[in-house]
This record gives sequence, C-alpha cells and structure tokens, in this order.
Amino acid sequence: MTDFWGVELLAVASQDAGLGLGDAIWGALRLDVEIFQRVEEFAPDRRLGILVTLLAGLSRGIAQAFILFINRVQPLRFVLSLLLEAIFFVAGFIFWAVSTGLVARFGFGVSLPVDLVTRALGLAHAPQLFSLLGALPYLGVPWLTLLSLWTALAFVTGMRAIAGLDVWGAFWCMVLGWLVLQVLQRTAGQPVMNFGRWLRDYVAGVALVSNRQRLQELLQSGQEHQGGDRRE
Amino acid sequence: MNSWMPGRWRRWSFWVAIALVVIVVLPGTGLMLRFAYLTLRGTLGLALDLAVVGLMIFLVAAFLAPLEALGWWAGWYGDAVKTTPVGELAAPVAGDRPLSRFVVYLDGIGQASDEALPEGEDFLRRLAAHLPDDIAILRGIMPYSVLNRPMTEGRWLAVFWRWADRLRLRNPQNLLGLAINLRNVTIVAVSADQRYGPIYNQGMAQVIYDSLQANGYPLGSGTPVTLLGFSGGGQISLGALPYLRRALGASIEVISLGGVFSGNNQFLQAEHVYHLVGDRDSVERLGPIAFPRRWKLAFLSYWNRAQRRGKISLISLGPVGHELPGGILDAEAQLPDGRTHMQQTVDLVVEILTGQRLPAPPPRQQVNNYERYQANDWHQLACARDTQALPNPHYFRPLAAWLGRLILPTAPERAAGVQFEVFTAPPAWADWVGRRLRLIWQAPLLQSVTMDVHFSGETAYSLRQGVVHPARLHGWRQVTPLESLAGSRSRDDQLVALPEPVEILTAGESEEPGLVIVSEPIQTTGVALALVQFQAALGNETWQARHFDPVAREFLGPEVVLRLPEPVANGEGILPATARRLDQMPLNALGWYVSGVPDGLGGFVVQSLAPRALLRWPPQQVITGQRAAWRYVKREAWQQTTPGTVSSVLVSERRLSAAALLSEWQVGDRLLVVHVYGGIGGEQRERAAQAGLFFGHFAYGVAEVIHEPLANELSLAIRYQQVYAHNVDGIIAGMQAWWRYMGDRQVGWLGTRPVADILIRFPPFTGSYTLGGETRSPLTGFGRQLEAMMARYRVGDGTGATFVGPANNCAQDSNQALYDTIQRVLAAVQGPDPAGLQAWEQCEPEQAQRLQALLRLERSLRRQLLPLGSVRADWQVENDSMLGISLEDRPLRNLARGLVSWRTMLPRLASDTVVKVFLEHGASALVLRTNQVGGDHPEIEPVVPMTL
Repeated sequence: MTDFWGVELLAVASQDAGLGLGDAIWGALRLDVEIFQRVEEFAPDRRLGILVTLLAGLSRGIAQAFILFINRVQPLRFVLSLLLEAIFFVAGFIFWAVSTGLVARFGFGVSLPVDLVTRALGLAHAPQLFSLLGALPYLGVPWLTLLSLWTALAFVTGMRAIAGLDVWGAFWCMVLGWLVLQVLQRTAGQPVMNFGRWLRDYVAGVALVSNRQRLQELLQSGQEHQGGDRRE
Repeated sequence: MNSWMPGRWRRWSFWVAIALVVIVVLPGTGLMLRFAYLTLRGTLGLALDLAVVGLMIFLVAAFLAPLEALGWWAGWYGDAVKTTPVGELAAPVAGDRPLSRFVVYLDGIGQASDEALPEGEDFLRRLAAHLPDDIAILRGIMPYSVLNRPMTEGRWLAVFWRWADRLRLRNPQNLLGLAINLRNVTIVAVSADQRYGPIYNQGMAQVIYDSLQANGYPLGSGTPVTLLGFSGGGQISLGALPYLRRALGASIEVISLGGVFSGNNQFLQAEHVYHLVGDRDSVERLGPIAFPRRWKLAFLSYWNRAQRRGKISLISLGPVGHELPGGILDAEAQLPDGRTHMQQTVDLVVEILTGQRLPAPPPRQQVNNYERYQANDWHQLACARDTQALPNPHYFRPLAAWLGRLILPTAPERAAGVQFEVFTAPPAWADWVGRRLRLIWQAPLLQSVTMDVHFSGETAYSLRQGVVHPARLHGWRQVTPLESLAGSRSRDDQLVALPEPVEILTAGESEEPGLVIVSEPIQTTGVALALVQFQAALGNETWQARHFDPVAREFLGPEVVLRLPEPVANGEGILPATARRLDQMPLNALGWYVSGVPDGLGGFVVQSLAPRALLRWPPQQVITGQRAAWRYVKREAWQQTTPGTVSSVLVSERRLSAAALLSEWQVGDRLLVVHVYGGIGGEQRERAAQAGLFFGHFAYGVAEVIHEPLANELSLAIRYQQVYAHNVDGIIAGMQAWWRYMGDRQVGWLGTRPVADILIRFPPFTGSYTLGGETRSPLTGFGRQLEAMMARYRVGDGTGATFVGPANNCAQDSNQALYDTIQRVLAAVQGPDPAGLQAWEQCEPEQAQRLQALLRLERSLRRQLLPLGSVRADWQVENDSMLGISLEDRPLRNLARGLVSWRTMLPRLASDTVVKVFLEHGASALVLRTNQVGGDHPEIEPVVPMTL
C-alpha cells in the first residue's frame, strides 16, 4: 500500500468494500462513471467536492506562483496569497456548480440538487490535484494543458453520471454553465469581483498584475530599473 | 537541419514514437504495465526502487529549480546576496590597444563550482594560446545560478555537491556526477521555460554584464561579445543574449559546442549562431527532439526563421561524441586526420573568432546585366589608361580632388579600411596617382550598422536568379559600411570621389600612407569633365566636338575627338544609351557636360553625359502661386514626355516675382533632392512596365548651387542617396553622383527612363543652426541617417539581400530616415535645457524663427507620412533589423506596417506628398525633368510612374 503508484493498487482491489476518499479520487481520475454515480454514497464526505476543489486550488496556485514572484510579493504574503487563491478557486467553483445546475434544469430539463452537482463536479477536479507539477520547469506548461483536458473529460463524465445526459449534452451543459458564470461575473457579479480583486491586492501587498502583456511589461521595467542601478 | 543526423537514428526514434503511442492508446496497457512493474521488481528488486526514488528526487529538484531565480527577482534574498565571484580573464590581454572582442565561456551541465570541468579549463588554456591577444576570454562564470553562486559553496547541500564534485573529478563516470548533471539540467529547463526563462535569463545576463564590466569591458564602446557555450551552456548563452545585447548595445554572437537549447530563444537577435555538433553526440540530439519549436513543423519559430535568414551555421565535428570520453573536448581521442577532438574544436573556434572560417562560396549566378556590361571595355576601370594625360587639359577639370578605385582586401588581409587606387589627386599629391593607399572611413555612428554577413537561403536563391549580392562578403564578420561599399560586386570596379574633408596619413604617421574621410565616398563615373558641342560623327564610335570657350561664351574652343562607345544592351535588349544623331539633337545647341577618361589614343572616352540645359542656373521657367505651383508639380511636370527633352522649372507657393524668387538661390546653397523615375515603354517596353502600370523608384539626395568654371556660370551639382534594393544591374545602395546614377552611358538612367529631380530650398531644413558653438544642419543629419540606411541595405542587415515589400522599400525607408532626422534635430536643439533654449532664441531670432518653421514642418510631415496616427514602431527604434525579411516571414505585420505609412508606398505619391509639405511651408523647388535624353532612340518611350 505504500507503493509509489499511490493508492490505486489496493483501491482497485477493494472497490466493493466501501469507498474512501482515495478510491473516489482514483475513480474520478480513471473517468469511472460508476464512481460519479455512487457519489451520494460517500455519506461522511458531504464536503468531499469542496475538499478536492480546495486542494486542487492550492495545487494550481503553486503552479502559478511565478505570477506572485514576478509581482515581487514578499514571503509571508506569498503564502497567504496562495491560500486566498485556493479559497477563491473554491468560491468560483461553487458559483459554477450552481450555474451548471441551473443550465441543466432550464436547458435540459434535468433537476439536480446543488449539493449533488457540487460533489460530482468537485470530484471531477481530481486531476487538478496534480497541477502542482505544472510548476516544473519546461515540462510544466504542457502538463497543465494535459490536466485541463483531463479535467474537462472528468466533468463530462460526472455530468453524464449524475444527470443521465449523453456526452454532448453533458459537454454543452458544462460549457453553457461556464458561459452563464462569465456573464454573471461581468454584470451582476462585478462588485463581488472587485472586492475579490481588492482583497487579493491587499493580501499580496501590491497591485497584482496577472495578464501576459502586463507581466512582460513588468519584467521589462524591472530590467530597466536594474540597468539604471548598474550605471550608478 | 537534420542533414547531419544519421538516418538510422531518425528511423529508430520514429519506431520508438510509434511504440509509445501504441502503448498509450491500446486498452489494457495499464494492467500490462503493472504486470511488467511487478515482474521487474521481482527480478531487480532494490535497484528498481532506487531508480524510482531517484526519479522522485529529480522531480522535487526540478520543482525547486526555478526558486533561486524567482526569489532573486522578487527580492527575497535582499541586498545581502551579492554576485561575488565575477569570473576572470583566462589569459592576459594586450594592454596597449583596445580589445577587439570579449569571449565569455559558459560551461556544460557538469559544472558545480566556479571552475569549469578540467577539460573545459584545458580547452580555454589552449584557446587563449591560439588567439591574438586583443581577444579576451572570460572564464569562471557559474552559468547555472543567477547569483553566480557555485553549488559547492554557501548552500545547504554544498557539502554533498563538494563530495559529488570530488568523486566525479576522480572518475568522470561516477554516478554522483550524474546528480550534478541532472541538477543543472533542471536549470537549463528553467532557462528554456516560457514563464521562468525571462527572469532566469535576465539574471544570467546581469551576471555576465557584471563580469564583463569587472574584467575591463569598456561599456558603451560596442565591443562585440561572443558567448561560447558548451552543452547546456548553449541554452544559457542564447537565453541571456537579448538582455545582454540591450544592456551592452553591442553585437553578440553565440558559439554552441554541442549545445542543447530550445527553439524559442531570440536567435534573430544574435549576430550569428555557430552550432558545432559531432555525429556521435547523443546529448545534443535531445534538443531537436525535446524542444518542439525546433521541429521543422514550427516553421515560424525563432529557430526556423533564423535558419532561413542564414543566422545559423551548423558545423559538423565528424565522428565526435558529447562528453568524455570521445567528446568534443577529449584531448586524447583522435580523428581520422590525426588531430585530437580537442584540437579540432580549438581550431574551429579560433577560425571562427579570427574570421578565418569562410563558408562555401555561394552558387554561380545566371548571367545578369552587370556581367553583360563587362563586355564594354571602355566602361571598365583601367588605371594605366584612365590616368594618362588629357587631350587639352585647359578645357577639362577633374571631377573631384581625390578619385579612385575601391579595392576590397581579402579576408586574411583585412584591417582598418579598404584599399584605394588613386586615379586623381590634388596637385601636391600628384605622385600618388596610380598608387594603392589605405582608405579609412571614420564613422563612429555607423558602428551599429557594422555586422556579420551570412547569406540566407533566399539570398542564395536570389543570387542564382542573377541578382547581384555581396557574394565576396559572405561569411565575413563585422563588415563595415566601407567594406560593403567596396565589396558589393564581384569585382573591384567601384570608382569613387572622396568627400571633403580628406585627411592624409603620410608613411611617417602610420604604417602605410592612407586617407581618412568622415562621410561616405561618392560613387561616380569618369575622372575628368568637359563642356562640349558635338560637331560631326567621325565613324567608328568617334565624334568631332568643340570645347566651350568661357570667355566668348560660345563653343569656339579647340576641337576634340570624343569616343562614344556603343553600350551593351541589357537582358531585355534595351540599349542604355545611344549616340545616334547626337549633333542634331536640340539639346546639342547648349552643349553637353561629358565625363570620362582619356582613350590613350589622343581622344577622350565619354562615359557619362549631361545636358547643360538641365543643370544650368537660372531655370527655363518660374511658376509662383499656390495653385499653379502645386498643379505643375503634381500634373504638368509629367505631362510633357517627348523623348529627348529636358525642362527646369522653379516653383513656389509664395506670391513673389520671378526675379525675387531667383535671387534667393545663391552659390553655396544646399538643397534637398527628391528623385523619382518612371519606366521604359514603346516598342521595347520593359517587362516591369508590361502591365501598363509602373510604380517607379524614389530616392533622396543633396544638391548644391555651384559656380561651374567650364561654363563660367551657375550650375547645379546633384548626388543621390540611393536606398536601392539588390538588383541585376549591379547598382549599389549608397551615395551616387549624378554622373554615375543618371549620366553613365552604360549603367545610368538618363537615356532610358523619364526622371523628375525636385530640388528643394527650405532654409529651416537645408540651412544650419549654431548652438553652443556647434553647427548643426538637418540636411547633414539626414545624410548621416541615410548613410546608415544605405549601409544596411547593402548587406541586407546581414542576410546579404534586401527584398522590397510593403514595409520596406526605397520610399518607405528613405522617409523613415527623414522622419528620424527631423525628430533628432528637434530633440537636440530643444534639448533638456529650456532656459538655455530661451536665451538662444533671444540671441538668434532668425535661427529661432527657422526652428519654429522646422517644428511646423515636422508636424505636417508626421500627419502626411503617418496619417493613421500610430507611429511605426520600427521607425522609432534604431537599427531594428527588418531588412532581408521577405514578405512571407511576417506577412501580416509587414503589410500592416506598410499600410500605416501608405503614402510612402508609391514612389511618385511619396515624392508629391513630401514636396507638397515643403511647398506649403514656404519652400521653393526646382523641378528638373528629363525624358530619355541622349542620342536618337525611337525604340523606347517614357512611361510615367503611377500615382493616386
């Protein structure tokens, strides 16, 4: 069991003996429809979806920590920023789960309890637990792309399992849910987003820059600054 | 790029890839893998587990690898961390003269301390022994730490690394050595990473910069730098390159010894990249596989674009591996030719650094006009013939005080300047005629356009098609503007006049006598000038003519026999000039200026011809008033196209009397020339004009109102600053006298094309300003800008070819220089001292007024040349290497650049636009038009260049 393959060897063998967290994650990674269908059985793990998402958010935050470095965030604030980022990730996820639930209900006529959607879609975040490795130099970027694809497949599998939709139905449900969330963020959700941004900057101690163009500008200006130092 | 990769290897990697895909895709492979693992574990037991643990440690190490650079950037280490060891010179250098180059050695991934591996240090010692002492070698940089901190010191694992390093030095095969390699591989990955790379590479550039500075690199001198990277050092060199280049402002080249590097490094910013690889190098081969931007598929990646531009030389090392034993730096393994691997590497690097390594000569060309014209012996330079006594010296004058032929030294003989064979010299130096002197062009501002020349694939193709490219310069390093002028054609057949001032170095002052100039030599034709009228044809290409008598003001001077050799027709069968019925041409009444050389038989060879009616002052007609002046420039000037005619019309939008306007033009006035030519039509219509539309060509130039002693009257001396793309005629971008570019009977355009030269007199631009004891003239500054642009055109920014496209053509690039100049003059005059400027304005009200006019002109020009408002980025950035880029390279960006400045895309429209702006601001302009002037030539007719 302490094998380097992780939890899987025994988990596969003991699937019927009651499911633990490890089994659930392993099932999600394998895109196992049955695991998603039995998601309600994890009675003690009602917060399972949230937990997986939180860990995934933390992992993803570490992979993208270079943005904090470029912004010259100091160590303590750096750690706090990572935690905050993970919490935001979870918050974003919950909104998305709700909007996906709404799309399923009004778009596809499938009524799904929010709790169920949260658990299933949260579990589907399992591949993102490995986002951490996205911080690896050079290999990290393709790795993150791979994980995104993997996660998308897990979402589709999860939606299929809990809503009984076909593959395309599940796919569109996911995409539309995401679109609804985007629209909400840019309209009614603006104040919340602004608050989030303010909080992020407050914790980081600097006005965080995250888009590619601005990051490049920051790197450029830093170089000129150092060039200036050199001439002194 | 795979030419050196054995076919066996390619086939092998193909099957491995197929096998991997099959393993991943086939169902049930998971179970198979698991089964395989359990079986392997049963057999190999502990070893397999150790390998797995090793892999885990590697992943953790890789995960932590970017931290040092990121922490450095974020300032986590505070100021306490200083990049202490800054490297040192591998050998003492010349103390008495400036260093010509700095070489910075970056070792492979085996380096753990501030010393390279023993073989690396051995290599540097041998290299230093073989290089001249004006090349400095910098060693001791730790390329795998942005803090230049060795692994063996000041780290919590330092003890471990020291131990590993010791064991590995004792036995290169030791496994712990592998640990050092793997640790540094993670750093190479950081440098190649698109997220961490910019930070790491900046840090490395900073380390190299500090190191150069600490070891005597003269900052601001532009001394070129070579980054010499072994293995992973190749990636580190290429990563740091763009940042280092910006910080130093110098040209930087990279020599990679079996380098492993990614394809998204900024290869285009390198002066050149030499990539030395052995056939048995299995480590280097990882690069083209592991980095997708180096795959051929990624044809727009920097790597592939740089290859197409000829920026990369792949050099095979033969049967050589990577590391010891059998590697690039192995001092024992021998090659079939008896040298050791190490010796071969040292030889190659020395050849590169000293410019002895020349690439294979470019392919032979198709016959072009330039080669055809060689058949015209009378138009070739022959010092012995051309420097003979003139038939009647009193009626001739030399075209310039110093005239001579440029001679390109061979690569091994290169030194400062080129050779100059003297054809005419001032009387005091008459005994130097026929001698070869050294000619030096002192132009510190042109340092940035001194560049390595390596032909791109497209250049080689274009050369095969017959276009004249500077084939003799292919593979040369740091080609100066003077060398590119001397070496642009395959023969040393460029006659030039030296512009004043000419400083003379006598043999006592330097090793050999020489001449020093400060501006570009003027390409010209003929050594002497006379003013004559043709009397009668004598047959056999000779004519009876009579000199002009300046006292009697008529053609009553002595008779002279002139030889007008029939020129060789171009590839389309069109004669560049004819002498048919010259004596009966209307222009013969006022006579001709003839430029040429003695024929050695008592006559004079007319190599170039100019109608006096065109160049004499005052002009034939004066037009004033806003509408009339503009109507003439825009339309009427091009309506009269009778072959064999010329016109000279002075225009101004100001309502002045003709006499008042004429009186403004005085001897010594300098003028801006705007030149446009049209096409060749008629029975022998040229191919470029077949479609009925002809775009033409645009150029700027300078003219001066002079007193012409042969006619004892005012006249105009015109020369062009030709920003001219490579062509089949052998016309070289550069300063060209009227006698060469227009009047030359073999290569000039007077006889075949309709031409408009508009000479603009506008004191705010053509006059000068005195500021702080210094005299500045926008027109002179403009000339300097064009000199740089023309030098870039001659070598195509190092690619050997300048291709014409929407973003780069004669009109666009000339106007870029105009725009730059005015900006610079304004910046220089207005300067950082507003109080000083105010005082100057009060002291010099006339100049201040002119400056205001210049400011207004700048605003109008900007509005006209850049109507869409956004200034082209490359018009602001100096030396942005855009030449030599064909449209396919960056199609959209190129097109967009062209469109932003659309008015300068069509030559005649560009000319109209610029002239109109000047006229609107009160300038006067002399419009000189010629229509296929010379002898009778009924086979051709003028084609007017199109405009909108």
